[in-house]
Amino acid sequence: MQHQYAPAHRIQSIVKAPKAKDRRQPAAAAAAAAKKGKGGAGGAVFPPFPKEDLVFRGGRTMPNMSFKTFYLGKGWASAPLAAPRQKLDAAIDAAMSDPGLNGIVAQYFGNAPITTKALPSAVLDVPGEATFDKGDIHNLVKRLFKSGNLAALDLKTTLINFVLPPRAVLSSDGGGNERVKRVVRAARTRPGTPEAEEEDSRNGLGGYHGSVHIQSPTGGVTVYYAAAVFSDGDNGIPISGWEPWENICATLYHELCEARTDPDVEDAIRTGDLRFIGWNSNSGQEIGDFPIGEAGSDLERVFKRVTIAAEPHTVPIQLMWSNRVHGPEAPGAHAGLAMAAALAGAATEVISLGPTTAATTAPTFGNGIVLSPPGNLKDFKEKDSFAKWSSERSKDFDEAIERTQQYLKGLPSQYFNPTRGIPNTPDHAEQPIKWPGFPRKLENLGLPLDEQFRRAEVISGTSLGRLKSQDEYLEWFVTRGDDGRIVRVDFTCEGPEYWRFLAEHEPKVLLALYQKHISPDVKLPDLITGKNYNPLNVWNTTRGAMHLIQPSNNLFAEIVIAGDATILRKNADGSLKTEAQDLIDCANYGDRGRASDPHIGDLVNALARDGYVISLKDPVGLYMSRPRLVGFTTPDKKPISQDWFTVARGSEEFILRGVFAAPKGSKFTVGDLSIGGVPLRWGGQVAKVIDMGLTGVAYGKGTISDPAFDCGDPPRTAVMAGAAFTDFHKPTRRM
Amino acid sequence: MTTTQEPILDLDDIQGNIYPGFNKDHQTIRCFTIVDAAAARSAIADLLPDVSTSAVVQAYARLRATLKRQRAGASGLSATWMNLSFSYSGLAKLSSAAIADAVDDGAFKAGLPDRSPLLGDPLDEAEPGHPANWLFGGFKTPSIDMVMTVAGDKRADIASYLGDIDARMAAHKTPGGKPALELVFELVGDTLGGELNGHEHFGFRDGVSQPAIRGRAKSSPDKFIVERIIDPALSDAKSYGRPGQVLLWPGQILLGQPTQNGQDPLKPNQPFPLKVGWAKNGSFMVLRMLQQDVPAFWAEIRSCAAKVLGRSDDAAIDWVGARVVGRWRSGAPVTRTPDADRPEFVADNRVANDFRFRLAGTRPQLVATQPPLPDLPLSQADPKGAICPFAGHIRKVNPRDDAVELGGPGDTLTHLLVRRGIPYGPAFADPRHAADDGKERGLIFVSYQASIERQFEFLMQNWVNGDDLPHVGSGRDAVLGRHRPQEGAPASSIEIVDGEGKSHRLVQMQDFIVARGGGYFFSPSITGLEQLTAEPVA
Ligand code: HEM
Ligand SMILES: [Zn+2]
Repeated sequence: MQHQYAPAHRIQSIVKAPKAKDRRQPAAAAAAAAKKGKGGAGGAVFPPFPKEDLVFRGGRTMPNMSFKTFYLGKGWASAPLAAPRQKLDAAIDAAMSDPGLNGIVAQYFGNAPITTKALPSAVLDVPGEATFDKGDIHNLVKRLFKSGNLAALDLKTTLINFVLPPRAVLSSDGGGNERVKRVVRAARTRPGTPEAEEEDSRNGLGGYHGSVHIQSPTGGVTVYYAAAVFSDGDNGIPISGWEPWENICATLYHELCEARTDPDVEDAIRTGDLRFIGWNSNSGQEIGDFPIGEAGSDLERVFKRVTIAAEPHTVPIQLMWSNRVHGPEAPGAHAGLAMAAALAGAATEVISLGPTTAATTAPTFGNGIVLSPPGNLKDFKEKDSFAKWSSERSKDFDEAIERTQQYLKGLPSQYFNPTRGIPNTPDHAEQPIKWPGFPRKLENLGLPLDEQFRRAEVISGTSLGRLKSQDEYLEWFVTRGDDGRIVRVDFTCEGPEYWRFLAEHEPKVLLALYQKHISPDVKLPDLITGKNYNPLNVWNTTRGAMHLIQPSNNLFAEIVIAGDATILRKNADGSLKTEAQDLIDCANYGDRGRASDPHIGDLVNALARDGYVISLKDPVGLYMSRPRLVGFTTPDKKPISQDWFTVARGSEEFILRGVFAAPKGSKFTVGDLSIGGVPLRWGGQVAKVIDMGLTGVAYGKGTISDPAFDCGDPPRTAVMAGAAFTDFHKPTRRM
Repeated sequence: MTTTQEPILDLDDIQGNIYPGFNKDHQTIRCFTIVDAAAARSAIADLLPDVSTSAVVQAYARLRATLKRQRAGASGLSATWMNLSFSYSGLAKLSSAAIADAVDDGAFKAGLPDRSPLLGDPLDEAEPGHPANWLFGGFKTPSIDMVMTVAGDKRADIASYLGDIDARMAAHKTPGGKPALELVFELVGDTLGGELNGHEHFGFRDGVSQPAIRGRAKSSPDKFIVERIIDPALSDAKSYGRPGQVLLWPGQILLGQPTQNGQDPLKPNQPFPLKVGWAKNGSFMVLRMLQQDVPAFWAEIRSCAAKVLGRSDDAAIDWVGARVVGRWRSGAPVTRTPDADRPEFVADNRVANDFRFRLAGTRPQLVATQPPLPDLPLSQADPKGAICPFAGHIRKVNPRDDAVELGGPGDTLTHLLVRRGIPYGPAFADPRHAADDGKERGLIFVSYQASIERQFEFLMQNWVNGDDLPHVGSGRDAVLGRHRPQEGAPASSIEIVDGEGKSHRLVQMQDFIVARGGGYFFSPSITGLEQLTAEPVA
């Protein structure tokens, strides 16, 4: 268990070929003995060299795996390549299922049986290229994935093999500055040979394996792949006397064994995090690597045609490192077991991938809708007020979409404006989002309960607890009797926009509603100063609560947070961000300390990661639940009825305003009640049992797969920058 | 934790069942009514030297572990522990109502029976779970002022210790010659024996997941109280002791200590201000006698299995049971081994609790002195509840990395508690095939927390019995929730995804767990106990 390495060494050792002296020394010392092993029926072919034994580092492994081979280029579909292709398919399948060969690799899986399933291979109709670099290979993986050709596979345990056409050069360059695991033909690696020269198949590269992370509608997926050169002549790793398909088979065998024991090596290289490594040696060699180095110029010592029980009885492979013999191990005699039929002769599927760049496409949209007032309120008297209201909200949606466009720059937004059209997709989902109405920030200050309730509520001078603290889109106003006991609590979750709208378009309605819900004494000039509606008027602050006033509590904020949250966010290593606090810290779409903002963002972003096109459900608004009254009792220990809470605006389905007060005829008042035996002294005790909610709508799962973005400030439009809580024309969530 | 110093805890001042927990095979919990305050004070003063502290219980646990390792078997040690806790009425009798109020005038003062409706207990007085019908601590049973928890390795040890205590307490009498404290109820809890040791009556391994507390012991301030074994180079090393053993600021359990901060688990909030100084290092104890209906539980699982899998053989019911609890009967977490129970996952305590729900697990890297971890599959990402249903018990009471209605996963930590329960009643040999034998059995549920409202009650009220919390559409806790409809709330349901990815929503009509008694108590520090036994200052 002494494997504590300095990180710098760890990384390099993964990609470097073994140092000449590490390799040569045992190889030389063993030269004579090794010759004896040549052609032997089993056991060790080199003297033991325990220093290179493989060690488990904690990463993934694949005891049970499948593989699917894609032959690049239409040439593979017909003569003269069809026959070698079929031989290769049969041989690699047989080699990977052979109990003798698997018995060697099984030692890395506690000698439990390992299995391999060969999936039907296919010819990929891609243009022949002179050179396939790593970027090309990664692109092929992505295109295959997007084309749906990998859809049926369990990608977690499947290796996608690419076999290059004749003469095509494989290179490990490209695809960014990442480097991949490769097979280096040792014979060509002379001491002092610069690294770069080894990185293509003209210079000893036979193949490599790695992984590609793809953002997909269903979250991130990892596709494991290997690439193998058509080794022949001066390209790849040709073994003398072998046909090219045999060379390829040995390379694929090498890569499959390595992918089985160390699939995530590319992540380890990308991130520098050694925990991704499965099995490798202390010098960083994977199961297939050191044997090549050890064989030196005498590659035949580890590239062997071995006899197996099943058809085709002989398979060309490369011997793998075996800890139990501390060297490359050839399979011994083994019992013949029934094997899967070889695939030779099976019909070949030729796949074409369509356009080279798999662009993300927006769905088409049908007719838009007229957005209803919150809670489907029917307050408006003027005929065109409904349309006006809808068009105001439409502007909010447009602005929210524009914000996403500052990232997407023309790519389709995952947020849509329902007034402009509803997506034409077969599927459609709703996402209710709920959070507690009592301010989470207050709860998290570490204060005694009573103090939390007091701070949420207290009115001292011009400072209202409500304005300061009630920031979960639920606000309440407490009316107390002369003895200080509560007689009623008014709850509201109506955005200020609606009231500004009334002041502008329906002033009579505005006044009537204030008079009805707050006090018959309200006069219009109390509400409108000059031409402007004053949301912080006395009837909506110290004398009542008609609608939300906390600066962050408004409809625009709701619309914008949901929109901002449709932008996918990524970590430094390219993986998608998925955690609530992480997302809000990254995108900055609200206050991380609240329950609402991070939670709304969290659930909306999850829909976005699923590739949906998203909006808010009509009627757009914020709605409270009824309080959970279980445990509320009158002084005679009787439970109270639902009549204590009256829906004053909206409907049971969409509660916008609720009043908690004694029902007519009750001999008790609110202040007489207890909740679970604790006297009801604060409005916040009732707020604690109210949930807030809104509903997202999502169309077309998997429709859009936009790129993910790094963290950074949200784009600040002029409007956003100037927002302050007294400016209710364009109020905003704190950014 | 190098930047923020963790607080120094005086383990000699804290009662040992709070931390690290008695962890014994047998317990007797005695409930007393204080008949005469002065006589009770002197009786308690007499018992005070016996109260087992965290320091002693922890030292014992360490010695035991060392011996077990050395001998590769039983340690040969044994010990009998005792702790004392008081209800609001108990504190009020020993000191004054004002002082009891100062300790807590919320849920603690109101008491468990009044809080019972909030916890999902039946509202109908005719039902056995209603506090009117409880065996102790209910509306119609004597007031419980003090609880004495005695724990030992053998029943006989407890019996002889209690005999000794009885004799000592007999010396403290009221002026009228009555005992100062009247025994009104006795709960006897034992582990189930044999293969079921450490399991609860439904057959599942219990007590696997416990949070750990941050801090350093006063006696050795250079060391953390709870060992940290994750490679300090990893960020997880700041949040966990062992892999999956989440670290909480001690104020989550003990009063007067830095508290868990929902926004930043690494930065504590200031200690909660105390109105009485001696409440520091005390903790609130919830005691619930929870009767379990084992045949009903497995009958429902069997019918779920038939609906979800089309079979109800043992393998099928185990598969469904694992989803209902979130762990297999062995305790193996279902997100790490979705298809079969694999006891290897619980054999190593560095593995047993190392899993997540929403995201896939990552392989922990341990400090160099640790032996290698077994090579076992990590937990799979389960953001939609396809492996572990959102109604699964452990996903309800500790959603870990799940999205919760409160904001982020850091907020979840502020609701965690430590559990110290033990089963009562006779075990069934194979609970899955149990037939009703008319016997009482269940769990003596005990938890410690700094706030009954924020922790125990929040879990019961919001999550266990919330249809939409912490996850919209989750249904109530499939084990612990109130399932039967009452007061306008319809029956609960659980959503289970079968092997083919098809989702099944199953209505739950049966309650498996019925409260039979209990109470809310305060377990003072040693300093607190000394204060309480001193003559009150008016
Ligand atoms: C008879 C009733 C109960 C039964 C049968 C039961 C059963 C279980 C089982 C089998 C586990 C898994 C083992 C483990 O993770 O330690 C567990 C865990 C847990 N239970 Fe219960 N339980 C019961 C009551 C309660 C109650 C009343 C609560 C309090 C709210 C509770 C809270 C927890 C917690 C917090 C965990 C650990 C979850 C985690 O951290 O992953 N349980 N319970
Ligand atoms: Zn290799």
